[in-house]
Order: sequence, then C-alpha cells, then structure tokens
Amino acid sequence: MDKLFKENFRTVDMNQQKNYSIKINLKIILTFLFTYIILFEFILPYNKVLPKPDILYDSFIHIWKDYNILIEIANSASAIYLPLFVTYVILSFGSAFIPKFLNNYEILFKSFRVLSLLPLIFIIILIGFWFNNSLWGEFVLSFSAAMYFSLKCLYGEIKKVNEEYLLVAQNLKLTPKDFSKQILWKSAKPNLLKEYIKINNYLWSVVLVYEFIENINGLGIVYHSIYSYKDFVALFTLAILNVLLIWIINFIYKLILKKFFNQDI
Amino acid sequence: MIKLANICKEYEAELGYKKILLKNISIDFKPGKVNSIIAPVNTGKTLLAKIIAGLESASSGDIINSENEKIIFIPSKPNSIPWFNVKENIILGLSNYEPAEIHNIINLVELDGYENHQPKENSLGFRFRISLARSMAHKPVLIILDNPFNDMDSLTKKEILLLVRKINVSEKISFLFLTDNISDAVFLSDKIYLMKKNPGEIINEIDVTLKKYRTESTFKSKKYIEITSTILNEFKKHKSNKLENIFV
Repeated sequence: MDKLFKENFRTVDMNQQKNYSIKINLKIILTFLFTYIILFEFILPYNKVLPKPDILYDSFIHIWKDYNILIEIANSASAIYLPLFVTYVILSFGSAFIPKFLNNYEILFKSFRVLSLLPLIFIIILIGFWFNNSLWGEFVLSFSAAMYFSLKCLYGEIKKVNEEYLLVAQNLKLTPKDFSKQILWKSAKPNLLKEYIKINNYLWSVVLVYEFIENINGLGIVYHSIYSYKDFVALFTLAILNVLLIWIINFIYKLILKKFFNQDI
Repeated sequence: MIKLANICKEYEAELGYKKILLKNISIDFKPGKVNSIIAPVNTGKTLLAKIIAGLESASSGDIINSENEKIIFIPSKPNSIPWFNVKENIILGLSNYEPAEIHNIINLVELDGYENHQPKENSLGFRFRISLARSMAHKPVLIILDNPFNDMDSLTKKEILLLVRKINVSEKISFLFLTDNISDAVFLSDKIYLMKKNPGEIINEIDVTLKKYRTESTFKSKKYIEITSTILNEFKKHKSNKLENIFV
C-alpha cells in the first residue's frame, strides 16, 4: 500500500513538473516573440540580423508558391523516414542474432567506430561521387547513418542489461537465438525506440546538407535556392517551417510510442 | 539423484596465497525432500548455490547428477522479466509445453487469473511465485532457493513458506534452501545442514522430525521451538560463527 501511495505520489509529482515546464517554455516563447516584434517591427525595422515580423509573415504565404515546399518536404521526409523504418525492420528481424553478434564481436564494432572520426562533409561528398548525385545516394547515406546510430545504441544497451536477467537466461539454458531475441533485444528495444528521436533529428541535418551540396530535390535544394537568391527572409521562414515539421513528427512519434509500445518519453 | 561430493572452492587472494571459501561440502539430496543449509551471512551460500546450479565451477569435488537433469536456481531477489507477462515468464526457455500443465502450475502457485499480468511493479512475493512456477515448468530434479524470503514482509513470507512446503509435499519436488534464518529453515525442511564460516564447511546435520504437512500452528509447536534452539546452540559452539549473523 505504501509503495502504491509512493508510486501515485511520484506520478502526480512528475505531472506537476511537466505542467510547470510547459508553462515556463510558453512564457519564454511569448517573451521572445514580444521582444522580437517590438524590437524588429518598431525600433530596428531595417537590419541584417533578423527580418521584420510583418515581412516574415508575408513570406510564409509566398514560400509555398515560390519554392514548391510540399513536394520538397515529401522528398526529404521520405529520404529520412523510409531508411529509418527499414533499419528498425532489419534490426527486428535480425533480433535473434544481431544483439548477440554485437555482444560477442565488440572489437569489430569498435573498429568500425573509427569511421565516425571522418568529417561528415567528406562522407557526404564521397557518397555524392559514388552515386553520381542521385537520390539513391541520399537513401544510402540516410540508411547508413540510421543503421550506425541504431547499432551504437543497441551496443550500449546490451552492455547495460540487468544481471538478474542474464542469470535467468544462463540458468534456464536459453539457446543463443532465444537469449538474443528474448533477453538482449527486448531489454534494449525501449531505449532504442527513444533514441530514434535523436537519430531522426540528426538525419534531418545529414539529408539537408546532402541535398544542399548535391543539388538534389528536397528541402536542401530550397535552402540552396534561398542561398543563391540571397533571400534573407525566406531563410528564416524555411527554418521555422523545418523546426515545426520536426517538432510535429516527433510529437506524433511520441504518441505512437505511448499508444503502441507503452513508452512514455 | 543429486549428490555433492567434497565440493571445494578456493581462489588466489594474493600471489601464492589461496583463500578457501568452501571446504569439503558433501550432501546427499533425497528426492522429494527439502534440505536446508543454515549459515551466517557471507559464508558462501550463494557461491555454493551457483556451483550446484552449474553457474560457477568448483575448484575440486563432484556434483553427481545421475540423469543429468535440470537444477534451477532462484536467487535472493526472485526475478521476473518485466517485458513478459506472467504466463510468458513461466514458459520462458521451454520449446515444448503442455498448456494444461502450465495452467496447473499457475494454479499451484496461486497465480490463476494473473496470467496476462505484467509483473513490472509487483511485490517480492508475486515475483517469487513467478520464479517458482517457471522453475517447476522446467521439471527440475532440484530447485535451489538462495535466501529469497529475507526482504519479504512477515505475512508474505509466512504465505510463501506454506506454499513452498505444500508444493514440496504434493508435487514431490526437491528443494535446497540456503538461509541465515533458523526459523524459516526449520519450518520448511526435512533435513538441515549447519555451515560455519571461514571456510564454509558443514559442521553438523539435523533431521527435522516435524509433521510432513505444516501449518501456521507448526511455528508454535514444542518440537519446532526445540529444534530451533538446538540449532542455535550448535552454532554457539563454534567460535567462528558470530551470532549477530544468524537470525531466528
């Protein structure tokens, strides 16, 4: 009973903290907006730091027509979320051996991590050369990054598996396949699913840079055009759209995790 | 049949100096009986349990397991896997099983109605029942209980002790109970081995001549109190056993 009371108390406490943090965030955003409007609409309307609020508002309407934003969002999003989904499906199907493999052959995985020392720009340009600036290159790049970060997360989670569960597996003489699938994978899965929020944010950067450099369809090419035309206001508009898009996708993903995987982030 | 013959465990504490942890442990497990080992805290009970379960190796001696049957170890914190429900926890590691048999085991450990329950936030008693059911599903020749009742509240502990004894008598499953608590051991056992510290060595064995079926009134019986005090006196004879490490 005492435990139940403490648990409920903790839940109430966490909800209060959550509400408090939302209120604080809202206050910060409103203060920022208010300062921004006063400062750049009335005091410093012409400057090279931030665009005038009313021009920014107009730009939100024009950018849809001028840059074909919806199609470009679809291009970039498919280059991010399709490889991410494929990565998860591969890991799920390989759950009977991938976690065990990572656990037993960590030297292989650690040596592969040397690649992370290479500058990202080098890898992006190299893949551009290999795939001759095609969409395939974008998918390969996105898939490689998603797989690398998923394996890295999985590897870290496997090392943290509760010793009690290992003892059960050892004592019940689980087969290597069952041990990998039932214990290692299932223990690591919740945090892997949470890690996809970070991986998704990272993939957006990688994909946008690739599209920008290789001039390939997607939001990256819009950034490229804005850069070419020196469209200062559109740059801010696109960035705001981009942030909102990532925020909405993350929000939906969190809802899916809560509803179908019982994960609360 | 399971038999321990002169089990020893030592390790090299410093260069050229070997520390003996367990010395010449010999026990003959009679089928369908509850054997207990009472020893002070930090005597090497868990180590011995793991050696018998095949999770650790002995430095010398033999574990005679004539038909190479399963020995299941239930650790001091009984473990249930939080991402499986009760039934999935019980059938973990079984390639073939009879659903009726599993249902019967669930009834025996009094978890009927909880088959689809996730054991995430449950009590030690609940988790122990799951561990016990899982062990029984594997049809072992021996179930080792490594002091699993210590952190339980007294009411839950009493319930669990009665349950284990009931299952032992009705299903004829052999148990080895390792503990530092004399009362629990006397209630549960048919035979008790007393183990001293530094090194862990059996110093005496006592037959528990209580009735086969035990109830709450067993705790108050004259015989029960007699056996408990005999054991306490036995421990007092050995200087290496500090009594603050033995519980009654």
